[in-house]
Amino acid sequence: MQIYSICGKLQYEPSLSLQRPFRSPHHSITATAMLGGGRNPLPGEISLAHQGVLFLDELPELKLAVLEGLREPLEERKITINRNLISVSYPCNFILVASMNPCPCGYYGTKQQCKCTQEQIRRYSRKISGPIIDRIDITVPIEYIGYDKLISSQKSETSEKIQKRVEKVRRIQKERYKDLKFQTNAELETKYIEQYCTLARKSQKILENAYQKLQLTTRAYMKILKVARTIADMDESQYIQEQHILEAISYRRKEE
Amino acid sequence: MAKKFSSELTKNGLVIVSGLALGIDTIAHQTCLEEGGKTIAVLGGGFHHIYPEENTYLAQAIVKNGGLLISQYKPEEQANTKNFPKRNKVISQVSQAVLVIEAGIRSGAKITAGYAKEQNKKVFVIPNPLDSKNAKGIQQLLEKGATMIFQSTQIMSQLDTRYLVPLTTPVKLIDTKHSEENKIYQILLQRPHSINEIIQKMQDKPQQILQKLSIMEIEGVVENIGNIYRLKEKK
Repeated sequence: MQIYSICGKLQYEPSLSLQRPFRSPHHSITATAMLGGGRNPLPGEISLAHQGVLFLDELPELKLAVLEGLREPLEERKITINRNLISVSYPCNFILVASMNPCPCGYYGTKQQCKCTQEQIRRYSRKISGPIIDRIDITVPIEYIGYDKLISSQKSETSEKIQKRVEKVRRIQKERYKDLKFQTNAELETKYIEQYCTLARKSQKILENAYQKLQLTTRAYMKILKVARTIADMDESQYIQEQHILEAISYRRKEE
Repeated sequence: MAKKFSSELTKNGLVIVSGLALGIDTIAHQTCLEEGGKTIAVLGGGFHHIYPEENTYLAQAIVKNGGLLISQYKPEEQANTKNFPKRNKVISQVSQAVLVIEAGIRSGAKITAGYAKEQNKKVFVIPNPLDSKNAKGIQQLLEKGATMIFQSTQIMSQLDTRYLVPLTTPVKLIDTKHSEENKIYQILLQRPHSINEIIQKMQDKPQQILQKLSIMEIEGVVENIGNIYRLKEKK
């Protein structure tokens, strides 16, 4: 709310409510608008999304500087903008949600015939650099929905139900970290990881194997642990079991 | 192709020898057992360490049906990929002839065929599509004097018939512990699949399939290239 007030944007958000922000800037956004700045540095989209969601559609279409500029904020959860007379820090603890096509034509890996060359596909996915991919916890492929599925009466799980599940897990996490400065697994600092991400013996072995065989980065290793912690929370399991670790590993994506 | 030839040759009374590896080896052993034949698996490690672990059930079925497991290593020795070329030498040694179904330039099949040549055994190859990555090795084998065949009868006519065995009752193979991994393997054998396609074909809980895929990835059986899974090429 304070951030919105700085921007003079409060008037556009009349409810003054405690609702979490959802920001979805267009992919043509500049680095200044995304990260904050200007002669009299104002918060950017990442800070406006503080405690909420920043949704970036068409991720590879973002300017390189904008995309790479997200690296530190994603890690630090705040951004410091330096101008010649002034230095300002804005918080930006946001959940990054992004979407992209698998290739320029959009059909790679689906049942439809992809019209792109291997080189085009590689160039497209290379726009998302390794360090950025490394900071993304979960990647899921979403496939073209066939007509029969589109009109099918078979209902999938409702959003309300899913919300209940998410709320339950967040409660578990809030309870676990009640004496600490943060509330969620995602924010778990490295020094606490060992304490809270307790692995069952078999999981330990699997992760050890995965670290070596899949040549994980340290960051990816920590990320998998945190995701596995969340999956274990959904199962209300105190320890991270084999199946939790394995599922977490499958959500990671590597640079091609 | 591996299935067709293994099946026909078994029916003719041949003993199928292979290396118990995933892929063609597995198909060869499996089909032979399913036809009621006898098969020999040559291991790249000791008997206590069947490799790959998924094929433990297959190894047991081979022995149970009067086949053999052969190893040059102490029972407690781990399977090691470094052993595999030597293992291939034994494969060709115990065989009358070698049939190569697929052969990449640096494949195990080519190594086996090379030993067979040294040991004056016949080497047969079958035509491979020109654009497949496995055709190169076939071409090289042909240049070194392998015989190209189109039917299994062409093999039968050139072998010593004293070593044929009678067929026994066919075996139905069910691997309970690793059946899902095998299923995924069979799916990926056709072509690379996206995660969603695998989930659709498997008709099982997505989480379970993701877990299996992770296991297979860690074991180095499959690789994940941007949410598309494919079999990892053997080096």
